[in-house]
Amino acid sequence: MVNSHRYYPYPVLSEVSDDYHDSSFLANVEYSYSQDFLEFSFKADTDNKGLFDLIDSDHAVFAFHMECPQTSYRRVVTFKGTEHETRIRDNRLSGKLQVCPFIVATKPIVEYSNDKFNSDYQGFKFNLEAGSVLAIASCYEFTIQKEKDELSKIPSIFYITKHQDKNFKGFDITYPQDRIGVLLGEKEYQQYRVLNNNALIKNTLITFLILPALAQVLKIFKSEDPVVLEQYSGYRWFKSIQYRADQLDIDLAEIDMPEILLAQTLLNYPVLSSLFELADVLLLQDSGSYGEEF
Amino acid sequence: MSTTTFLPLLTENRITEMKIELDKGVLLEKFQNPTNDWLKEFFEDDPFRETNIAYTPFSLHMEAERPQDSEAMNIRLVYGNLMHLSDSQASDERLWAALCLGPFYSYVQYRWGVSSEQKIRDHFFFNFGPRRSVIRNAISRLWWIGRLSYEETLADPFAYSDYLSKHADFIFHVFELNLSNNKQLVRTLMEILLEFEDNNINVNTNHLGALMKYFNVLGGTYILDMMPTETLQEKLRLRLHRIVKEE
Repeated sequence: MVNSHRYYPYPVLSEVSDDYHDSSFLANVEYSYSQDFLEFSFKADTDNKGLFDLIDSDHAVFAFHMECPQTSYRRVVTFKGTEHETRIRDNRLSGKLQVCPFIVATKPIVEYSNDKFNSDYQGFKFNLEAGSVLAIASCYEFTIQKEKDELSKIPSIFYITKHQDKNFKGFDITYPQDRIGVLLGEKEYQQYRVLNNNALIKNTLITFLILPALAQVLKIFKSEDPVVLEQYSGYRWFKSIQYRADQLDIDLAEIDMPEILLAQTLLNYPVLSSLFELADVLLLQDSGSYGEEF
Repeated sequence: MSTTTFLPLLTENRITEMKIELDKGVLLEKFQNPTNDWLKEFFEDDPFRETNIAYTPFSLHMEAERPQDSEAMNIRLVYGNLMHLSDSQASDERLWAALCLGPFYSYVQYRWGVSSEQKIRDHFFFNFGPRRSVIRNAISRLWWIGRLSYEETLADPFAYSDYLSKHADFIFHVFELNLSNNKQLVRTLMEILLEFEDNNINVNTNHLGALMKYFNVLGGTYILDMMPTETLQEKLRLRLHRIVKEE
């Protein structure tokens, strides 16, 4: 999280200034993936009656300023209520995204004053223009993690996302036409995102989530029901797994091997490399290279 | 006759390998070769992979005596031919490094020269933070100036990039500021600059530099994206008049 604070020629409510007393402006933003979109949910609230009345009378709004320096994306999302959702196509964003919450004047405000102004400002009145910042909350910075390489000709057949059911725990697997999805419960997904930023354990995460997912879908290849086989054989993930098996000279329909072993063969025995990866991480931790981050 | 093919990509590993060799000081002479044939030898393989993005190959103009005078025309060519790239694809070094080292190798040499490792790092690769990098890389620069200034409501959608390319340093002043990520803010600024030109009031690079400083200060005080266009235009117009007058 980044704090944004600048000096303004009039009082601005923020955590880092004492321009107002007994007042707060709290804001929160979260995002999740949904197919080719990033879905953002915003929350904002203030207990300052003067500011709340300005919003209520359409003189101000909650405004979340979003900026992605890598893709030059810049947008302000505004709303009046305390919650709002919006979505952005994921090909508009890459790398870091900074989101800063404000309360902003939407029209000129003549002789603005507020009961909760710091005593230094008591009795002062300010003429504000549309676009003037009235309150600031802490900024958020996200690193947008994409499940696919947008330049690559061979997109991954797996994606990892949040389960739609907010009460869901653990992980589940889905396999619509394009890719195999690993759906994580809300808490699992949050923790996955934190860990996914750490390149040192990326393979371990993949093994941990993708190995069982692959093992599950491999059962389909052994199906004796022609309707099932016909349904799935046109899917991209099906063709991709079939191609990999052909490379290894494996007949997925006929081979007599438990799916969990077969999945390891197709993924080139990832458990061993993951264990090495974890051993390296522990070694780093022992040597103190990670400091407090680990 | 040109046929459709796929844009090239240079993998991250290969970009890193080249940057390491550049730091060692052993690649400068190779970059000064008139063709990029040496890349195959360097990687002992075809240097590029194909992306999933189709395009029709095109050439860039390299006839202007002063290479910078070719820029307006080349913005039209690069953005016009590659308008179908997403912003995210267009912010990926792997694509632009491949275009600089592949089909537009001679153009980068012509436009920026290859007299030092620094020039090679800046203009063939990404060598700064995200924003500066795309404006310094020889080909992504042409795309992004097009992307940020293309205005389809104008009779000539490239009128703004033509104007900016005519004036030395104008591109640097306008596009290295985050404010120019908002196309409406770019449009507001451009309308003022063209208004001054129409009225025969000369705006030079110092004037624009001072105006952009003021623009940046305004951006720190207001959420400019939410300020009515007319209000912002009036503020910029008044300030630019004052800047020009004061000189």
